[in-house]
Amino acid sequence: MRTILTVDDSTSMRQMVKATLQSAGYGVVEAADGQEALEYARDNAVDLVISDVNMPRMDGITLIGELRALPNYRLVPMLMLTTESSQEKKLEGKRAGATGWIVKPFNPAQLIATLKKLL
Amino acid sequence: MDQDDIHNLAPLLLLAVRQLDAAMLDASAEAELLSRAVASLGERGAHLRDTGGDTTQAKALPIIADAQRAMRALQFHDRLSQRVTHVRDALARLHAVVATGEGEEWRKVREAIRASFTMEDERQIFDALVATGSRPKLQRDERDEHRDPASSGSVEIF
Repeated sequence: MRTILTVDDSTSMRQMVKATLQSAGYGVVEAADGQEALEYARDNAVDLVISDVNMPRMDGITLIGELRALPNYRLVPMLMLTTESSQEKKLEGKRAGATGWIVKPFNPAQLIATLKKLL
Repeated sequence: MDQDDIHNLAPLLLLAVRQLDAAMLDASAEAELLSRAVASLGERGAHLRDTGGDTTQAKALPIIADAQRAMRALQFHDRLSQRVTHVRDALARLHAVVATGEGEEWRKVREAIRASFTMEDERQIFDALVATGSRPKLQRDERDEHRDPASSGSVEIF
């Protein structure tokens, strides 16, 4: 089973992402912010990362940069899932190593279709 | 605005901050319950689709579709929470300025408020109303102009 690490400080958003991914047969690991996700990633491999941008302790763009520095995560697809839609932020995410950018609210069917393309 | 006005304004700003804190706490708990219920509905639908016979699978598909629509609609709470939090933080900054009389200068307050925004339409509204300072009230059609429905739900692979 493919495992996806989903990172968001909103409990309800994590629940909805988790339900969407599990309904498509993916295993899900949750983290409430970038710091928690990075600590998990240092000891565990996942197949894809979905992260919010604005979070306490460590934001999503910093997280992506830190993950890209880990040998196991150089080639792992990483999607940003955020309310941010400005081109500047998207460029910042792309430079940090993000694979793609999804603006909330996400469409569950569209999210699953995107994951199938990336995995 | 004289010192008496400022003296009366400070506690009202603090009251607004506390009211928003209480409202957000109530809403978060209820939104969490609701999202859990919808997520559970989606999971049950997916289980029926994956394990049932043809008839069961056919019945499960509309349940999954309904759950997915509800999940999308429920994400309003995440956007709402961010907007309310930004208003709350802006009011708290104003309170710090008027209550102590030695807070940040107004320009710094405006810069800090704008920097705290996480949505493009928030920044556009701020720039239209506060940065220019020329229009006191945002009309309905202007709010619609500042919304960016095209970007909601968009997927961009780099």
